[in-house]
Amino acid sequence: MRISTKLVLAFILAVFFVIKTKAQTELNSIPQISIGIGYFGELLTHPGIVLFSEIALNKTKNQLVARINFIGYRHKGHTRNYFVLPEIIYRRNTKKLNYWEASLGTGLLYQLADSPVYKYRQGAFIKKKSGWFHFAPSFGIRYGKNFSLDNGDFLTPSIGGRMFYQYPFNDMWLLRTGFDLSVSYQIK
Amino acid sequence: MNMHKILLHLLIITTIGSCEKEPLEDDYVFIRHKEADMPVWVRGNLKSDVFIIFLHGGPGGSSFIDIHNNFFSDIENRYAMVYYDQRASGNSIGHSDDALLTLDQFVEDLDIVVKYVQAVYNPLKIVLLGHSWGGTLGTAYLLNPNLRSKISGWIEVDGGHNLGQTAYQYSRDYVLNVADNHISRGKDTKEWKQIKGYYQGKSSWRNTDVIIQHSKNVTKAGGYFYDDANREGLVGLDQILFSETDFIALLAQNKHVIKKMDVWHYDFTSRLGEIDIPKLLLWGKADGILPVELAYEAKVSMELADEFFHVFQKSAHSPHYEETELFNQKVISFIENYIE
Repeated sequence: MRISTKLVLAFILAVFFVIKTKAQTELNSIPQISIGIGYFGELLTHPGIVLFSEIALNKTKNQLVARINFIGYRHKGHTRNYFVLPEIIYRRNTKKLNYWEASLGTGLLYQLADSPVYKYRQGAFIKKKSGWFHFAPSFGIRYGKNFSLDNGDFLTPSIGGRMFYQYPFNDMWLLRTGFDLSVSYQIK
Repeated sequence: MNMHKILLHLLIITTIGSCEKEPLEDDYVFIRHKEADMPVWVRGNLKSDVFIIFLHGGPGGSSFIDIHNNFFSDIENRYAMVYYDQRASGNSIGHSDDALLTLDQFVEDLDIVVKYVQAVYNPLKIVLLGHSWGGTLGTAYLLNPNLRSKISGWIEVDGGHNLGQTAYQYSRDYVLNVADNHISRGKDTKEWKQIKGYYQGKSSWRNTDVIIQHSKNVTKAGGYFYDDANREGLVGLDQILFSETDFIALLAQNKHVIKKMDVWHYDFTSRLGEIDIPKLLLWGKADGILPVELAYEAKVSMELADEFFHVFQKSAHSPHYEETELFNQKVISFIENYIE
């Protein structure tokens, strides 16, 4: 696991342990726009980082949210992966402003071999740097807990899992799983 | 369990992941050919004059299971082993089209790997070692005289030089014999009668549904492992979570290639004599998917002397797994005496 991934993970875990909050129950106080960062693990243990931004489309108990994710993860010795994933989210807020959500999205996954690639051409092997683009629809679920900080902004740790397809993986739909542990911060 | 404990467990799991042993050496690359990136892992004594290219089974299997289980560690101490995952199989990635899932294409891909070994290492001798479907691939490669001229030795292990009608009959009869045995002893009688009934009216396994169901029946009959306990240790959770093998892709690709690749008809038995390089035939006595009768037929066709033929008494389809030490000895002895 890269040091940057470890740092992100340590930061997120630290947030869970040290934040001090005050109670907040007003739905209209939940974030309009937030940004976040998280540990992303394809199959849990192929580590990576997710950066995301969310925009609330309404502020009701049953909420719609749009999110865009930028994900990078590495399966050591196999592949490096870069994933852009816009999603639409149905979120159900509780009285204490925690939430459960389900998300649907479709994105673009770029996959490269995690070792040098050589192509045979006219009697010689030439090094290649390109990878492969894949269409990647996704379905996810998440639980998040909103904490209202002293300044009124929300800090929201969340844990989520998703299934996403990779197509064409060779000539088939390959179903993968990913998990993330994230924290987002209200900027509006 | 409260939230803090869950997080602590996650931290431990990911920390373990970060402590994994560095598994890769420098000689690990991917070779791109016709929209496929195929991993090639060269291990062992790279200073040796002999490089052995391993052809995995399937079709749609992977050589990485064999690597993780160190099946060829004694051989690697003496020679270089070249492991690669075939197109659309195991750890191969890319955009390979299903139309390229043909024996001819796999032979072409293998020749690219041979050229890579020649270009990078320039060994004096290259040996092919094919297991199961790898036996089909290796045989097809070596039946081409131009390609054969690049190879110094051929080792077939429970190989598919014959995937045709007689192979089906031998394998079907293996299952039927096991079924009769169980029925006569009154053990799981209903289930084994159903299995027997499945073969009524089926004269070939050149059909996706038939080969998949037959394979399940062979598994049930114990035709893949001499000792059923051996199946348990083949893939561990640590390999799934922390190795460089993509087990999600491996399982999915295996299923996909089996369905898409039309191979269950090739029979090269009558042409095996054309392979005029040193050959070693190794087989598990209890093999149920490619029964040992196929080995005896190949021995006759190749006019092999006894020293080039061995039947492992406590193995089924994979003697390199079930009798690893003896298997390594047989291969090393063959290369020492007839290749080096």
